[in-house]
Parts: sequence; structure tokens; C-alpha cells
Amino acid sequence: MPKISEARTSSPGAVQVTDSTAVAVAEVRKTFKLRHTHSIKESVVAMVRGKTISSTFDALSGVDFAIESGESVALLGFNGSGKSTLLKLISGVLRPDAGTIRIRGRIAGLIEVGAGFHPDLSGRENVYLNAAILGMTKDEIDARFDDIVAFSEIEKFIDTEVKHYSSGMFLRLAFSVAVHTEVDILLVDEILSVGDEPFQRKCLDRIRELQAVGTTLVVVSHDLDMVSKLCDRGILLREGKVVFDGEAKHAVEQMRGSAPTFVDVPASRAFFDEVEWAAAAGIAEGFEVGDRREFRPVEEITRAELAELLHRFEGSAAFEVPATPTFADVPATHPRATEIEWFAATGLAPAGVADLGPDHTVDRAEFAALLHRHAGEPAHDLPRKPTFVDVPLDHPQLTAIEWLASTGISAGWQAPRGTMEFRPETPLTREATVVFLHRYREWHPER
Amino acid sequence: MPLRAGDPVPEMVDPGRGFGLVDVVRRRYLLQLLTRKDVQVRYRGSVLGWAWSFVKPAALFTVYFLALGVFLRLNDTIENYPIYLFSGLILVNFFSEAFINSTRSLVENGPLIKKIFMPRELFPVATIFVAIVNLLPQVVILLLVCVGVGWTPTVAQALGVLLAIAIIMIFALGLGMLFGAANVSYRDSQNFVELIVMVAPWASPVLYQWSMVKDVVPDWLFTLYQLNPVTSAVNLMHQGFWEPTTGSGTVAPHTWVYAGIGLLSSLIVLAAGQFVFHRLEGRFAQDL
Repeated sequence: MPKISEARTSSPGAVQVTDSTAVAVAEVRKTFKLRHTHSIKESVVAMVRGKTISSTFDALSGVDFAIESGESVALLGFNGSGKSTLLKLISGVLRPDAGTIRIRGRIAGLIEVGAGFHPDLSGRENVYLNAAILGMTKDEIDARFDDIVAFSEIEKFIDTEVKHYSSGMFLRLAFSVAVHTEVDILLVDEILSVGDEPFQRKCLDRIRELQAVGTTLVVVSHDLDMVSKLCDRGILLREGKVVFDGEAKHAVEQMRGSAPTFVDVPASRAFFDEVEWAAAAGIAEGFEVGDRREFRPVEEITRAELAELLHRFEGSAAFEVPATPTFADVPATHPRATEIEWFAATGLAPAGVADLGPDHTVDRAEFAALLHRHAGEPAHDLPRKPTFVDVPLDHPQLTAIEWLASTGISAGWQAPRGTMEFRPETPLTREATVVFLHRYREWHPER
Repeated sequence: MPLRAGDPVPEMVDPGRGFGLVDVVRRRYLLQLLTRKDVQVRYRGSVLGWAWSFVKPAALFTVYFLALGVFLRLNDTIENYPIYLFSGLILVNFFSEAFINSTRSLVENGPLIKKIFMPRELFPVATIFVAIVNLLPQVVILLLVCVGVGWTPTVAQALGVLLAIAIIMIFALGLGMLFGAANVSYRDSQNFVELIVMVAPWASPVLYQWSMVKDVVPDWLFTLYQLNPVTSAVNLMHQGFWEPTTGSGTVAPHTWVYAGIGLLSSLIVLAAGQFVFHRLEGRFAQDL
């Protein structure tokens, strides 16, 4: 007979671990290194020219908590607060740079449903493949196969290739596999937004069943109502740090109630999340007006301000200003000289010009080119027809703008007759800059 | 199953830390499914389908046979040259395919690696098995031809063929893990691998005979040539298929000694590959 030892406690850092602890996160830090080069040649060239090859930012730091077996915990926070990174750390996809993460029992992540699905395989083959990816054995899958198919409600099409499925059918099957895995700890990221209303309810019921049999749940979702109903406990993250850990209801209240950082960007504004993210990450400071702060979202951004935002976006790396200024109109005494010199050294600033024009506005095409350079000018196929009517095939920034469209960072505007326009010559606003940077980081979180 | 009272309490473990290739053995069912998936989808949407895996080596064989066998007259000096050529060629092709595909396997499975944790060694290992599936029909053809012209191998010669395949599997997997792990951060790696693979058929006695090398290079260089695990495996193939169909054909001396060394050095390469893979693995999900 296996004997259960007396509940013993040990404490890595500040976290109490007992025999019933399912997840222990102690003093965890996750730093992303932002590489500016993508081949050995680029690295060597950058080194020879004395340019920075990389910089870092902390997505998470000093995170401590323990989750008991059978608990349901919601990770809350605005976009960019580090909650998805934390989920990936718990699942083992990413590893912490400092601190420890320990888990007990089998774990499966619904981090993205259907990540392991192959379009050319039938539904049946995909069920087996994905259940095996999530850690199930052949016997377990055989035993649960009928339940999985019944839950997904696509019995008739189970031997059809998945590429012929509608997106709803695909998600139902993928979700069904995930919630039928035999695990002790289930990680859920934004999963409950799939499918239609009745299916969502069914998913929630299934998750409650799992809760009832003692599965530990860690949930990330933007649906705060659902989260506070489903979870007992909420951990609120801001800027990669735990700012609240307690009852889920209170965590949600605290998140909802947090007063906007800027008086001119209220919670009702479309890009509130993105601006708050920029404020929380220390990228946008705004302007002090008396005892309040303004962001001035629709104001056009200047090159100097852009250099400052990007420098902070990159983690405000320390940088030595060269003895002779790179630009004649940005002397060492310029209030943003450090940021602008950094901007020049990373190769992001316009090259080969004597004057930068620090107070000049930045048009959208110029910014697209800058982001494209920053991403290392990734190769992508140009479409035969331009995506935007106002960016024809002979536009000087065609490659950069088409790349931006292909990544989803820019969707452009609806123009007449179902066409889209990018408005390349329109000056970039402060709000648009932050939105672009946010999407850019979501597109490639380690940058 | 969720923990219940009375169940033994499992130890707490680090998520994302595994035991390398040992985990691949533990997850062999998943390995089997991944291999089957690759085999199934490989020629999807093509009319010839798996016939392509015959067409490609057949074309290569024809070109080499015409150029080297007929025009350069190797067919006159090497007895049963077609069998000599084909038995070496399919092995080197196996090496090339296994090496290139295992090097690329991590980048190709990037979306999965970034989202779900599983032993990442599964991906290069699966490509090696896919390459085996590709190799086997070619071995069958070779076998039929050999039997047709009168094949009388000893047991040791026949077992040598299995050893040859094992050496290439281990060697290609070791190299694939090494270059594949590097490929995640620097795509230069896969271009470098293509270069190695281009040289591979010429760096072993596949198209010509070993004695032609021995006659012109100093002894130490010939020894070095023999130390290449691919060379030792090619010699085993010739010893298994070609030698028993000829009257006077002989493979390079000390075949078994070099085969032993080849196996040993392949295992060392595999250990090095696993070591580097393990060191770099922590960065895969964020660098892909």
C-alpha cells in the first residue's frame, strides 16, 4: 500500500509547498532577448559596426504562488501583462530564466486548440494524433474515442479530411479532444470563446465536470464574467508582476475598477487595452497636466517621440552616446539625444541623412518600413494584387506594407467597393503607434 | 486522473524538462503516429504519389550510370557496376534525406513546439523513420535484382547490411539533432547541411571504387576516408549485396573494423547531438 506521507512543507523562496500542491511557482523571472539579427552574417556585420545585436525585457519577474490540487485559478491582466507567458511556463513550452516552476501530475494545455491538427488527415486520425500529443496512451484514446466524437457532434464526418471541415466543426473536434485528456492539471487559454452559444455552454459544463472530479484548472480569459463564475481564485498580473492574489471576484473587481492611467483614454475607448499596456510596460508616459496625465492619442507622433517609445519598447537598454552626434540637428544636449542615438545605432533610424528632423511627423509607410526592418526584414511572398488600393505594386514601401498586412499587424481601412486602403502618407498618431507596437509584440512575443 | 486520497503522491517535477531520447522511447506511440502522419501526407495531392520515391532514385541512378558507368567506362572495370552503384546510392540517399529532414524538422514543426510541450526529440527521430520507410522499397528492388543475377551471401554479409542501416540511422540522427538545434536560431545551418549532403556521395566509394582513392592519396588520407561512418556503411552494403554477386569483387580491407569504428563514432555523434540539443532546447519555443 502506498503510504501518504505526513504533509510536509518546504519553501523554495516564499512559496509553501505541501503534498497537495499541484503547481508551485517561485521567484520566476522570464526575460525575452530581442535579437536584431537573424544570420551569422548579420551578427558579424552588426558587431563590426558596433551596433547592438540584442536587448532584453522582462515579461515576468518575481512571480510567486502555489496552486493546490483541485483549485481553479484565473490569471488576469491586460494584454501584455505576462499571463500567457506564465501559462506557457507552467506547461513547459517556455522555461523560466530564474526561479523554479514545479508541477505534480499530468498536465495538458489548451493553449491553442488544434495546434497539432493536420488538414490532410481525417478527423479520426487527428483525434488520435492530438490525444497522443497531449500525452494520452493508445488504450486511453481507444477507450475515450467514442466520447470525444459524440461530444464534438460530428460523427458523420469523422472519416472526412479535416480540411473539408467548417471552422466551427474543426474547433469543436479540437476542443473535444482537449477536454477529454486524462490530466491532473488543465491549462486553458481563451478557449471558451469557440463555437456557438450551445456549444460554449456544453464546454463550460464539461469543464465543471472536470472541476468536480478534482482537476486543477488554470484559466486565462478576457471574459471576466465567465472567469469569476468558474474560478475560486484570481491572480492579477500587471507588467509581469503579481499585484493581486485572492478571490476571483475581487481580482476581477480590481481589474475592472482600475482607473484609467490617462484621462483622455477612458476604458470605453477602442484602444484602451493597448494604451494601458503601453503605460503599464513603461512605454508611454504621456504628459503631466497638473495632477493628471494625458496620452493625447490623436496627436501626431514626432521622430524624437518615436525613438523614445521604441527605446522603451526594447527595455530601455543603457546606451552610450557617441562623442560626435549622428545627426547635425540632434546635438548631445537634445533632451532625447540618448534615445535618438540608440535609434540610429540599431539601424532603425533613416540611414545616410545628415539631419533627422526630430520634430518631424512620421507617416504610416515610413513606420511600416521601420517595423519591417526591426523584424529583420522577414521574407514573404508578395501578392499578385496589392492588398491596399493606395499602395500599388510600384510603391517604394510595398514590401514592408504587404508584410505588415500579412502579419495582421495592420488591417487598414475599409474603402468604397469592398477595397482596403492603408493611407501610407497619413501621419502616424500616438495611439496608432502604440497599437502597432502592441500587435507587433503579439505577433512575435519575444521581440 | 486527478489525485485522490489513497493514491501515491507523485513527485513534483519541472515542466519542460525531459530525458531526451529516453522520452522518445516512452512516447513511442506518439512517435509512431507522427511518422505515419509524415508518410501519409508526404505525397498528398500528387498523381504519382509514393511512386515518386522510386522515380527519384531511378533518375539519379540512370544519370550516374550513363555518365560514370558508360561514358567513363566504370561499367567495364567494376564487375556488376549497376548493383555496385545502386547499393551504395540508396544508402547515401537515405543518409541525405534523413539528415536534411531531421535538420529541418524543428523549424517545420515550429507552430506545435511553440504551443504544446512534448519531447522535441520526437521530431528528428520521426524523420529518420520516414526515411527508412522510403528506403525499404528500394532495398527490396535491390534484393530482387541481386537474387536474379545469383546472390549467395554469407550470414555475416547479410547482417552487415542491417548494421549499415543502423550506422546511418544513428549518424544522421546525431547530426540532424546537432544541426537542427542550431537551425532554430540560425537558418544558415540547413544550408550548410545541404552542402554536406551534396559532397556525401563523392566522399565515399559510391560512384567509383575504393582502390581508385587508395592509388592516388597518401595512406593517412585514405585512413581518414575510411573513418567516415558513411564510407564504412557503404562498404557494408557492397559487402552484403554486390560482393556476393561477383566472382572477384572485393570491398576495402578491414570492413568490419571500420564498421565497428563507424558505429562507435556515430554513437559519439549522437551523444554530442543530444547534448547540444538539450542545451539549446530551452530556447526553441521562443526562437522559432
